[in-house]
Amino acid sequence: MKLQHYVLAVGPSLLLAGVCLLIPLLATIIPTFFTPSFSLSSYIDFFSDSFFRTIFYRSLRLSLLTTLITIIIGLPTSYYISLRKEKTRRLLLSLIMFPLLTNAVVRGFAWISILGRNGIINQFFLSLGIIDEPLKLLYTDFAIVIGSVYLFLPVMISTLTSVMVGIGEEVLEASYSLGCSPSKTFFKIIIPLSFSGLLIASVLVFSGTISAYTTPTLLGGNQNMMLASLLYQQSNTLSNWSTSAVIAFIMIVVSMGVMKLFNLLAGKVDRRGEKDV
Amino acid sequence: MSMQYGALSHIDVSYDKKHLILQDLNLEFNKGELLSLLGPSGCGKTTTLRVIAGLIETNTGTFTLDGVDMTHIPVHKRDFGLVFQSYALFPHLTVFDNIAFGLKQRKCSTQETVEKVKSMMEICGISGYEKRFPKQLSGGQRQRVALARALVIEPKLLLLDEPLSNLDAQLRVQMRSTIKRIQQELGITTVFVTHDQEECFSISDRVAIMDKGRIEQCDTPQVIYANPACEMIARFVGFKNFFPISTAERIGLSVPQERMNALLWCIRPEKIDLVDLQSAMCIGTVEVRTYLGESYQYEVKTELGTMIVASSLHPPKAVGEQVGLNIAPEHVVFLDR
Amino acid sequence: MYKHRFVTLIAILTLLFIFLPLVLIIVTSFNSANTISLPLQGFSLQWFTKVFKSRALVQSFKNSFLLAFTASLVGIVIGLVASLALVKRPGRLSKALLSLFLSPSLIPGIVIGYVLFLFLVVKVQLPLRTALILGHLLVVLPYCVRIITASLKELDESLEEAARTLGCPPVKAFVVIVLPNLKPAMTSAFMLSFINSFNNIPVSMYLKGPGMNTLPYAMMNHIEYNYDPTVSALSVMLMGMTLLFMVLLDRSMTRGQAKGVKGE
Repeated sequence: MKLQHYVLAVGPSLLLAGVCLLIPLLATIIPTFFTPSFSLSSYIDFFSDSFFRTIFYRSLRLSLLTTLITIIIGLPTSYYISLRKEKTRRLLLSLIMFPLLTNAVVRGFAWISILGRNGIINQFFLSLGIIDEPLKLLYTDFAIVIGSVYLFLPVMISTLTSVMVGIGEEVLEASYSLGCSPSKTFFKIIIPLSFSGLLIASVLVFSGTISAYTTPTLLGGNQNMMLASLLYQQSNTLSNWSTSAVIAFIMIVVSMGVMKLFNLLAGKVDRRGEKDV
Repeated sequence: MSMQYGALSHIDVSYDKKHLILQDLNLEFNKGELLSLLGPSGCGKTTTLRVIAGLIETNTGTFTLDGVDMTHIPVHKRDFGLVFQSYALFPHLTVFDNIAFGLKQRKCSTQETVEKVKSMMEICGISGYEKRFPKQLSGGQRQRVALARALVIEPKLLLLDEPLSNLDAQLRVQMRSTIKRIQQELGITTVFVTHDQEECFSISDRVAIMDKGRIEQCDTPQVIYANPACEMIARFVGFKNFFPISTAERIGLSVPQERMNALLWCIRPEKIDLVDLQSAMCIGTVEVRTYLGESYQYEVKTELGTMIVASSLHPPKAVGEQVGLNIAPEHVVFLDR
Repeated sequence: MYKHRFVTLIAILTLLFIFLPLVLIIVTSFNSANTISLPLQGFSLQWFTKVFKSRALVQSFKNSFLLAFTASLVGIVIGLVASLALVKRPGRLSKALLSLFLSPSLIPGIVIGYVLFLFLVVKVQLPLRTALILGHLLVVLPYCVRIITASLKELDESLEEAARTLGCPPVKAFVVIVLPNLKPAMTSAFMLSFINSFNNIPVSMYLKGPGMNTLPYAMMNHIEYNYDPTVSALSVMLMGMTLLFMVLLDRSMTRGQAKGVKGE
């Protein structure tokens, strides 16, 4: 393609991404390293503050927890789906993906209706007389984890299922014929062969959870903030530009850094046997 | 007489309630023999193998082996060696670990495992490939690994599902004699599924020819070759001239008493003799002549229809020439269907 | 063959976990009482009417719809030309540009909203409406570029070449050969872009203003001050809309496949 055409074709998108994303990002983040000469003091200050530190650790902790839970629930569920016939599989997968197409407010609202003081769970237990006072389920770390798991379980399941289906029935049958029971086959054959898919999905879940805004805000409230809610509060409500910029950069580093790290790891894991004859 | 080692009895298999894939299937196999299941696609031969393996549940019927009812025993407890058409090697394990997999399930000691794997790799001709991964192997090598993996566990039964169909022609011929040699050396009872007639007849002790979910004939290759049970099988093994039984009388072909109720008679092209017109049973005109190298193939138009005759008679007959044909009753096969 | 009882149990529980919250919303939206509770005290469509009566909700719906439509339309156009360039002239530059165009999906949404707000609105002083469209265009770009480049790569180059050897000028060949085969990709890119722009929250959070609210933000506002099934009813309607979109998306993909088979 001729050079002029190329430039014309790429131009609009380049302008968009450059002017609306790249430049603003750099303009916001670079100043955090120059106060006024190069130093990491803004970041040191951030982590020295116990309030900010708590939020940072909470974000890490809950994201890890969410990832772990989606893995534990996702593995058997994906295994079940991968064993079904193609038609059933497609139906189940579209059922699972459907919540993804509603917005985060709807999903957050659903959990508020379930976990809140006047929510379904409390109504149920109160009416049965099991408890006298409503349980505090909402605006807790627990609520954030449930909401996040709810958000990202479909991603984990769809990724894992397609990887497991790719393993192929005959390999599993070979394993059974050699004396390996289905549960042993799951751990010795399916999990190792699904490992890279598991890694990819875990990265998606982790980055997604740690960057999320709506779910932690709706379900965690101001008492249990995560990084995104903190960023919004600092920038919109408090107009703390310098702190906001620091938070923004930290969020980018954590979510993208995890992705790059796992990409490297997954590459290493897959390299075995990649050389052709 | 060989000892009956195992049998399938009255096996019915269907995936939906209406269509039966296997209908009242009965099959016996003898200890140490190589039995082939031969037939066109869709005949049910792979299904039968998978029933034996335990990968398919049957609606009715039983499967016994060495006196034990295996019908409801799960796959991983059957102790059979399976070789798949796609080889189904474990991509994440080395060749050594692939082959050792079955032994590890049987809690074999490390030393014993190494000995057995190494020895089986030598028998199958893949020594030296221990640390390679399946992705790094050629088709023929992967096939040998699959075979070694199935054999090293010393299975009661070796089941092979079209193991050679993914190999090129030359390799296929090589591998089939390797398989036969190993099978005879180890004396393992083997069931071999294929759609290639030549491959099947060359290595099998017995052949079960299947069509539409039923076994049409089960016998040694020699018997099937000389006495096919039906028209389909006869065509399969090279018979070409099929005529209704009523026409036998017209050319003076004697029909034995017990075969009077047969439907057809047939004969191989090379078993029809070209004779002089006076002593011939049947006279016809050569319509087409094809050069085959050793012999010529003539399509002769007779009062019964076109007869295909193969003859190395010299000088060869010309197109349009009138020829006399003789049909010796000992080369005629009578078919009921 | 094998029963897999334990795994089946977990799978069923998981499916219930995923579906019951949404079912809850659907069911409680019909409650005649003022609360979100079970069992229903009576059947009523009052909450659905209440949605249409709420100026904030209706206006924000229109905003979101228009915004998503515009952003998706513009998105597939600039995404299409960019994808063409990237696929027809592969190389290091194209690879880098591809990463750039896909990057908005990798950066936390809230960060994108923040820097957009800071730079475009506060520093450059762009009107809010413009910034909002640009923001959503950014959100939409990765989907358009990813889907269209994938489809372009799958397209057989020799189709275009065959047309050219038969006397068709390059531009016409593109319009007559390539574009029709890109229809399914463009459609699914549009649909996906629409859904993601419509449902986007972080970017819209920052770039909001009087009369410029998007639906998700209006919903969040409503929840803060009212705890009643109005949002449930709205959610049900949104779910219906999404379902319709999914069906349309599925249809457009399968129709595209059938075309390809016929062509062979």
